[in-house]
Amino acid sequence: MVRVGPLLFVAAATAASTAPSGCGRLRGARVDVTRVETVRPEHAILRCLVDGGRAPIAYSWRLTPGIHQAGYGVPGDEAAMLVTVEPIKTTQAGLVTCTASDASGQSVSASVALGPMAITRAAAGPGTITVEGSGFGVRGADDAVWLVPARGAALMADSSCKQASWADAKIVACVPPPDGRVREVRVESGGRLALAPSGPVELERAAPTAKPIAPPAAKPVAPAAKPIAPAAKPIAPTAKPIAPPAAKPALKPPAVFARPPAAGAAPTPPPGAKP
Amino acid sequence: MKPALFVALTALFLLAAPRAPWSGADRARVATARSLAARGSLDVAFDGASPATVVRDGRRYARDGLLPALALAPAEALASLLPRAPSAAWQVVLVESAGAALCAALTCVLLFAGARRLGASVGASLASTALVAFSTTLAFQARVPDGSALAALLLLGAVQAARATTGSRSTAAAFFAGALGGLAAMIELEYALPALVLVAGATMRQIAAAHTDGGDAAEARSRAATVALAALGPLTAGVGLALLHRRVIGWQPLPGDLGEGLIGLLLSTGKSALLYNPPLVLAPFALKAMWRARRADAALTLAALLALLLATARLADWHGDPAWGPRRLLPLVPIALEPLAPWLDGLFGRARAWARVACVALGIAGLGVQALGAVFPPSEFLRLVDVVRGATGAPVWFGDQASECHFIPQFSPLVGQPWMIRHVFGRDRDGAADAPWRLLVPGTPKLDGEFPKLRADWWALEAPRAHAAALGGGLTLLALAGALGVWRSYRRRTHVLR
Repeated sequence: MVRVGPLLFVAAATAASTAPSGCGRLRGARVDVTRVETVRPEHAILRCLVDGGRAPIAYSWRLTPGIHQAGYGVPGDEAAMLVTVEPIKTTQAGLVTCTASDASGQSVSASVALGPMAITRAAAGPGTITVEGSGFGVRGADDAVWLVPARGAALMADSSCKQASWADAKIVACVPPPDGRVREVRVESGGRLALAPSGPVELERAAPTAKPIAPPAAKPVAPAAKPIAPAAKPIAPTAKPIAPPAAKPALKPPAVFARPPAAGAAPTPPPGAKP
Repeated sequence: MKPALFVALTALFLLAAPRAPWSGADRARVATARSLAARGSLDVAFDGASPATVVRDGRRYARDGLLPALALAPAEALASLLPRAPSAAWQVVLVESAGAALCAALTCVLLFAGARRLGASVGASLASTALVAFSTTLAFQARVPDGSALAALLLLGAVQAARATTGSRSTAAAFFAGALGGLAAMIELEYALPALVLVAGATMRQIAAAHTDGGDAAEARSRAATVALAALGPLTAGVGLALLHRRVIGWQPLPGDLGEGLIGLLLSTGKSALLYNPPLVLAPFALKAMWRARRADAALTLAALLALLLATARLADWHGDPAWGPRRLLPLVPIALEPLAPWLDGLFGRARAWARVACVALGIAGLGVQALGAVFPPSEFLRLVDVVRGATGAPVWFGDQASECHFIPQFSPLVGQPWMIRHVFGRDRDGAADAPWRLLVPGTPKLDGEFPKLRADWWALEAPRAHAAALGGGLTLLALAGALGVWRSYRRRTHVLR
């Protein structure tokens, strides 16, 4: 038993690990991209990887302008495809879609964007962020504008709110409530990522249009006042006359994003750090 | 002897360190380690497209396992103290390579100790260790901080620990085997399969040992359960962490074709384990001798080897490109060659002489193969093939890197590397005339513009001459001192025996 025991376990484990994972059901697909950057125009090897499905599996590809299949008389219904990418001519972010259908008629699709994507400017209005650049493409299910801190969870800007729009060169999305942390503006589209050239920004509270200005201004002051509690009391009476100047931020242009003093600094400034 | 051997091998491996990380995967791993060292985050945060990364929730992550980046993080923390000027990049690369060199040297020391435990003489153990250290892909991977050398160390340690579960410290040995297997799973999740096989083997040996000792069935079950739990705990933790890491970064690799992987790893001209590790030819003889002398140990080793081979072959990127040889199969090499020393000791007369000749011949062949691979980064031949593909508008069958370079003899890197050396260091810069693939692609484009871009992959060529001479001299002295220590220790032991 000792001699063959481990071998039996290998056989069992291998049978489990090497059994066809699909077993009839077409679970999903992914387009694997290998870029050949040394050749001009740039080439990319696309492979439509399918999980499961009943053989034979038929593949079809959809290429947007600027992406061409390389070679002459090459079949376009195979699992792999060699394409050329012409960045200047690409539209819709150079989106490539692979659709795989199996013998039972089930089909799955997967897309990937091959064109270049860049952010040139990230500006803000009250409660929204506008990102300008190129190659954002058509918004897919996983695509969004992200506000990424150095540590901790990233915030996703809402691309489905009323003011939101998504175009190839401009994205407008609603920003979540501010938390005073330094964040980078990033755009995720078709498996690509673009970073704002201006570096990390601090998400500030958007100025409300009519109502209270004082409460938002008072909040950041409070934490700073706590450590000097004994001295805070005499100051308290004078605090009220200061209240009108506290309305200053509201008079500023409604820029929600401003660069912190030291761009890229890892520690995030506390909410009341700004005067 | 072991400390001296460790020092000598580390210095020698470090002497051969490369010039720079050569592939997208290497750059992504280094970026992850830097991010971990600087910010404690896995986010590599670079712009544009990178083939070895995955984007999730506005962050970009390396697709690699977690442990290679974690192992590289201390080196990156150390490298952050060095000047960041481009002229000092060689120092950073050297610090990064030091981890791989240490792991490879430790693997060799572990192999030496394992051979001695199997009853081999000092001389035979040293010879088999030297064979693995310089004539297999371990010599090449000792230069690359991609976790391959670390995986070899961990899985060899796991095999040795699983073998030790019959003694009085069986629970501790089982825990150790499980922990090492769990860490290996954090490099490549598929390495959990050989680790699981080792745990199963160790558990069954407990039951068998209880039966042969004449103990009752309940006690045997209890001992087996203790060993299984001690091993499965850390192994499960490692596998859990690996799965959690994949979940966090949003990466779920699809399985590959087992047949393609097996043929590729065993028989292909571009990635065969036997072609890149010639001493492996002797492994079946050594394992057969081990089977006769220590059947239970041999069964455990064979089961682990088989599981490792199948788990690696099942990967979609079983080839691990860009790499010299089958880098994902590196852990197989020291495990398979561990019984070599006792086999050599057990031979007499003509068989012993022939075995020695075979060892020397295979050692020289293996050394040549590793030296050939170290001249240029392995990504360069693949890049030239890409240039040819782009220029000829090759169809789809030519589009898959594994099929073009590893299953067609004319595209094997073993053929391509000497061709590149001829044209980079020779006068003839047009490689089209004698390109290895001319039989298949007669219209090979001119490549004379590509050869001047190629540079030898050695750190000393990047460093200022004075620095290179000082550091190279220091490492050589260290290697010589280590070798002298090994030699003196060997002489002392053989003298005592006489």
